[in-house]
Amino acid sequence: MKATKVLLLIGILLSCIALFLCACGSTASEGSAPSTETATESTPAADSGSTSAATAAHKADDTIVIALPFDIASLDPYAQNATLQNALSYCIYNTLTSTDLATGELSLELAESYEQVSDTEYLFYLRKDIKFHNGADFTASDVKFSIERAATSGGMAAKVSMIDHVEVVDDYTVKFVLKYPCVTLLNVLSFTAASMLDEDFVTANGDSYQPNGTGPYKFREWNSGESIILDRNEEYWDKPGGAAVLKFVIMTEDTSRTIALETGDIDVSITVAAVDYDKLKANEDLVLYADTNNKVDYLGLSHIDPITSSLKVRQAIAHAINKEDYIVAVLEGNGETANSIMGKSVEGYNPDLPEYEYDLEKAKALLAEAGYPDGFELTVTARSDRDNLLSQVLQGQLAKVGITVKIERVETAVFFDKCAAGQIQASFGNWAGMTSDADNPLRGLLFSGNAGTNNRTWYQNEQLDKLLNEGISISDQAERIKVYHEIQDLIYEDVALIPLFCELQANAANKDVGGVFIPKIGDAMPYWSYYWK
Amino acid sequence: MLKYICKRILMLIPVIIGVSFIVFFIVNLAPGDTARMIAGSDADQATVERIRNELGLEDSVFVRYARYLWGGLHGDLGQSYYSDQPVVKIFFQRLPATLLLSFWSVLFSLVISLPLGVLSAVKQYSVFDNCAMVFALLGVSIPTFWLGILGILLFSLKLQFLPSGGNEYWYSFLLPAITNGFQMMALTTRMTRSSMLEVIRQDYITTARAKGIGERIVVLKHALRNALIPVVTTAGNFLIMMIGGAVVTETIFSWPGVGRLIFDSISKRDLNMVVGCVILVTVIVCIINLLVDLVYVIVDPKIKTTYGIRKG
Repeated sequence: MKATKVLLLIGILLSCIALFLCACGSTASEGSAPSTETATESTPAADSGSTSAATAAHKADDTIVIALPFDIASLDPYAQNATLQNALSYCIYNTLTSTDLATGELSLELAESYEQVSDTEYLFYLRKDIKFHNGADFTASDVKFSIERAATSGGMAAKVSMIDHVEVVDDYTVKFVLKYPCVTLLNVLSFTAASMLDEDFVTANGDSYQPNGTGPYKFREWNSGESIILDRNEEYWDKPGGAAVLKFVIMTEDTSRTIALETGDIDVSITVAAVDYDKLKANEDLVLYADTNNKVDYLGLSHIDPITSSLKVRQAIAHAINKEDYIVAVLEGNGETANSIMGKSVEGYNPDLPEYEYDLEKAKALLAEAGYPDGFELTVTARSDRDNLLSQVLQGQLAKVGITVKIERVETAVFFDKCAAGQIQASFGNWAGMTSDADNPLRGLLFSGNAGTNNRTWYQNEQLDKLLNEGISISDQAERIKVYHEIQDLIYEDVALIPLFCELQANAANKDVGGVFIPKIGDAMPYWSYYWK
Repeated sequence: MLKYICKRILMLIPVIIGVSFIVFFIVNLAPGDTARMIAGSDADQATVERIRNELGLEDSVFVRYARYLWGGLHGDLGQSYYSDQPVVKIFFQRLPATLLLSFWSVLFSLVISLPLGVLSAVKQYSVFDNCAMVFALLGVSIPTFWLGILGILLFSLKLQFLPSGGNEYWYSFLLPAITNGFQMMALTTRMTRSSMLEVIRQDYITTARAKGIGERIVVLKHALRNALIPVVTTAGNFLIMMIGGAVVTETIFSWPGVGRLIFDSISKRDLNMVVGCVILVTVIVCIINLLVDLVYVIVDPKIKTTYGIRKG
């Protein structure tokens, strides 16, 4: 009896171990060298003919189900400067100008033409016969209302801060008067910060209005925390949207999205974890879309901290960093090193900008010159799990030159407070501008007026400020590029920021979903172009 | 009984005021600037100050609490700082999903654990008893996150039997409910077993057997009923935990419940939403506690006297 019990227990234990090993097993190949080349889309294997019932149902209804990694807090385009909300705004609303997400090219959208009257005045001539989803006409008063609303909003006021006021000239002509010369106005007007709203509708319905735009998709329903459904606007004035229905479902867990894609419960997964790349590539019913865009990750060192404000200390840290380590350890090989805080697709990017070479001896020598021959303690403030991982890599790297990295994990709200108070000694960050214009990332991260907000390092350099203001006032593109090259040189010499890498942005979709690509600009995805092949 | 119920409902008022006071102060005094979170990292200080004024955040926390309490007494728990929708509206949009998940989780766990616990007690030290206890140990040890992912891999991916997440189909709750209820099932099995073991050793059970009453009636009618009180308590506690606490399950299965709503609101410093949801959850918790107390009366009529309920 006792022996039976023992045998039974051993049997149960072995079963548990077997179950554990099955669940934790990986199909990834071992020992493969990290890839730094950018990938585009993985070619699916020959059509096996297998389609899940869910996928078949979606196709029959001409519905594309898209899984989003974050919850949507609001469908007001001005509520928050948040990537996912921005992308949904592009489905529902139009803007006066538009940035092609694939090429970064700027074009006119609701504006038929424009005229620069002076350095600070622009006239826009609007397209006629554009209607909102509720049937109301789009006119100049809607433009004035929308911009004024954006300027007083919580999330978007900073984006339109260069606009002093908007004047209605007639029903289809509107004048923008700027506070200072700014050639990036057209780029700004392509951003969701300048989504065109129906003045009468918003005024009548108050802040709890339902989305009502002129875009390729109309709002149907929003189930809080669960899904948002948009219907194709059959009266759209331009090229119609792809699928008849776009259904956005909220799935915050990476694994859940990947599995849902494999089962066919969803058709597109936005943001795929690096650990799932191989599994998705091996699935013949799915396609992995992966490419770099203009997002650059960087390490920011405080310019007001007693230690890191020393140029030699910052140079030493730059020499002690091996950028490849981050790509291998955090991105699982899915990325490429960055030499500039500007992404490659941003106008003015300098491909010949030098990088601080990995040289530990040089780093130690610089530290000694700076008065820290035995190193010092550096506090890195991390506000996400990803930042935490990056900090751990940095910890290992800087230990080799005697710098002890202490990781301080905080919530986003606390992080912003510490930024504003100048209490962050070092932190990781990234920037993906929503337009191809160079001013966007540089001003945000380095303009002295933004110190304590996006300029977390409190970098305050009059010469850089002057160059930034010069950049937005020059209309000649070649001259502008020279200015931005000069800015990048200054960033390099001053170690204003240490650019690290460009991560592969990856989405995955059913092989029969067309129109999916990774935009060169920003994080917003072109949902309106998705269709069933 | 009615008097007792009315008394319990009236007791809700000081409880809600107390909870609202504590939660309001904790949330408002926590570090992090709500106005900055709403404005975004690239907003200038003027915009942040404007938002702070618009939301009344520049007033002292006592003034803000008094204002909040006044609104609450009129049924207005404020609006979400992000969506501008009333807190009550958003909460009740999410509540049905949470109640559905909680109900089925408890039902699943009781349907498995009660028979398992009773049989284990009746056949103590048997192979069945040992297996049941190992199973219960596994249930307590296995993390919900891992179990959920395994369930999705097996039932959604391999067998294509159940959806991997969401609340689209009528049967969507099955996998989340099983995942959520698994740990409670394990705990309740052990509790039922130990409670039954205590009861079946009582003299009245021996008397019942001596009188020739069938074993099934002895166990199910006499023993189980007396052993149910701790089980009812555990089920009630578990139900309370799931209203607003099943964040892991809701995240894995993309279940649009109250737990995720509160968790996301805390991260975003949506103060109105956090305080409002906690108050509403408190009301639900008090109602559940009342229902549990009433179930006690049904299970054990002797308890009526402790509630001051007398017949005749």
